[in-house]
Amino acid sequence: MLDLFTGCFEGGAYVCAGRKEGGFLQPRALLDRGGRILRLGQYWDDQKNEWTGVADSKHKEALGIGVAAVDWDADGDLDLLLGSNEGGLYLRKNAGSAAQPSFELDSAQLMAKGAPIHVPGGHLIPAVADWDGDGQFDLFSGSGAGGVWWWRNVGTKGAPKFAKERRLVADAIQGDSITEPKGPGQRTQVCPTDFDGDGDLDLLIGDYHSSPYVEGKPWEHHGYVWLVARNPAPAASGN
Amino acid sequence: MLQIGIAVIAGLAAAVGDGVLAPPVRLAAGETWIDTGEEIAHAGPSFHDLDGDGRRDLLVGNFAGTLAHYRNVGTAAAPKFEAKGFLAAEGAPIKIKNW
Repeated sequence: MLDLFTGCFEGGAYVCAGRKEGGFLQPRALLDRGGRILRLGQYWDDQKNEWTGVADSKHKEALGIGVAAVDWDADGDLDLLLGSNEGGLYLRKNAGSAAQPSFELDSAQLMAKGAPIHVPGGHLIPAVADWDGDGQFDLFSGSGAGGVWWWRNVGTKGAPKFAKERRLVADAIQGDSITEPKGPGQRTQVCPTDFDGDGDLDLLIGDYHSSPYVEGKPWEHHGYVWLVARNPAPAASGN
Repeated sequence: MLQIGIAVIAGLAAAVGDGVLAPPVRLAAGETWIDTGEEIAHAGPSFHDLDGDGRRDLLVGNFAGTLAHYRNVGTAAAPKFEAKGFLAAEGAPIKIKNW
């Protein structure tokens, strides 16, 4: 059954659980095993109306905004990847089971080839899929600067390890039109998926375009969705 | 900022290498560009068969915390989308608190 996981700019992680009869339940905040809302190091405190640090977090600078679920350690339950607004990526392991998740109290920063994973311009929102068909899940993210990054999993099942990042899609085009853009804009979010059913993974990319902010003038926003097809079938020719 | 994770990871049967990536193509629903501008943008797409018809449908998150639902009215190989409003759960639109 499909569950929907999401992060948000407030800093929490949420799930809309799939229902046996179809559809979803309303979103509920994911909790760690201490009963706290599962966050990285910061969150927006509605009561105080300010950004607040998570007590005891080792990553106080990190605001979690993106979530992906994957069985990181191949123990049969879903662990969580948390991407930060600052551009880092973190793992929150599930020490429980698939039926009764129990997420650890803090996150571990993820590395690739000996350095912390980081995307330019921040805004790391993770995705997982097997891009190179080797049976191991790889990591993906867009970034504040736009584009799509890929980290190949060079580890083994249950012990993932990642190569240095590779760019799959270029950053946003400087000065691109916000109403008729030539390509994806900034703050990209990627969904690797076999869009055209041809057996390989394509990329769906969400983005952000806006007019310059000028006080007192309308501030125009757009968020488009793009397809970057991999090995697309040749377009039909003829008249 | 809203983004949907995939709960089940599906591997591919065959190694495909990097292959060739085509230039980006902007997606539309009918004659209208898919655009989360009115929800302060920050589009976050996800692609799943929500209605069990064998064709995957498009969900697009946004900064307002809702999920725009586009039903696939094309085929599995050539998806086409029809806007269906915002995804609901338990009789009310899904809305994530987003700052």
